[in-house]
Amino acid sequence: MANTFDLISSYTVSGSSTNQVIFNPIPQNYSDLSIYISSRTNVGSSYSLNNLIQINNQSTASSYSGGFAYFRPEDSNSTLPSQTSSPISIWASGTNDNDANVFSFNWIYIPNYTSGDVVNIIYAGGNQPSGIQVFGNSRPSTGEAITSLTFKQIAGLNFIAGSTFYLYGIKNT
Amino acid sequence: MPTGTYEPIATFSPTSGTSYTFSSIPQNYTDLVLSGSIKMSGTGTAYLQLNGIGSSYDWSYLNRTGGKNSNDQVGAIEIGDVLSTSLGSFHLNINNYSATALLNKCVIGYHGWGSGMYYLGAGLRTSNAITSITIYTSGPSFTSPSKLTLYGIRKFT
Repeated sequence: MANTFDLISSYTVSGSSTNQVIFNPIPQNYSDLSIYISSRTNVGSSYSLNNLIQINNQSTASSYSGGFAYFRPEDSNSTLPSQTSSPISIWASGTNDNDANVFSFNWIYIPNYTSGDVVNIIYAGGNQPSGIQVFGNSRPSTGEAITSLTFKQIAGLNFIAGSTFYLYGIKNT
Repeated sequence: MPTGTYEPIATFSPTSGTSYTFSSIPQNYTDLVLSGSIKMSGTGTAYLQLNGIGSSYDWSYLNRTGGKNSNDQVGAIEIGDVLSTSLGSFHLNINNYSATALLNKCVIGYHGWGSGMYYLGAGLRTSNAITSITIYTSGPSFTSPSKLTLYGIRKFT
């Protein structure tokens, strides 16, 4: 049987840092998309949550809604901290305060991305040590087939060398 | 990736009805992944059963809004809410499903919809291999463009 889990494209930050990574165009002949990200940013803290996903170059924060919960070693409350304010498509990145070899791990899943409907993006991941684990969902306000994805740093930050982005397509036939 | 280690077993694109069963699941994989997106005629809840068994499930979840819940010895695994306004997305792993030793057949994964997302852990203690998986709703019907796919993961040898 043919492969059903195909690498569509990948990008590794090397040399100069960058504030965004774009996959465009995304082929429309898969059922689902799965993205694996290992990233660091040039912010001086133990983790960064300034990581966004934008669909079809839609950059208006109010075009997205969703939220995420997170765990940190210092959190002892019975209720997880969470955030639902925009912008909301977020994963965790390693930072300058981490060891130089410490990168985050993140998984993002987008089923039925060609449907043209409003699709929920689900994601999970984190960064260790002294880090954070996150899981959540995000969706655009209007439905449209997803033809491009932008992974973006905000607040003047950049992805730094060694950050990797892998986009996979999954076929269901 | 070696060819044929992650294979679609069956796909279902429901446009009506409140239940669907993946039956006669092949036993030649190590693990299963049930994934896809679901949209309903109204707001409700989605549930999952293994082998048509209607009791003895344990489940717990963390919600991305910070809440949590759990239930023991109940009739199905609650995998989250369903809506009519957007496609809820889910990705569930069912590990070691073909084992016939008495153990907990585990379901772990994520389901995200409008205002919620579950990080879910659940199980059914049984000595039977899993041969069918049923997803059903609390009442609303499946609508287009819902899609459910069951994948098998094969150990490369």
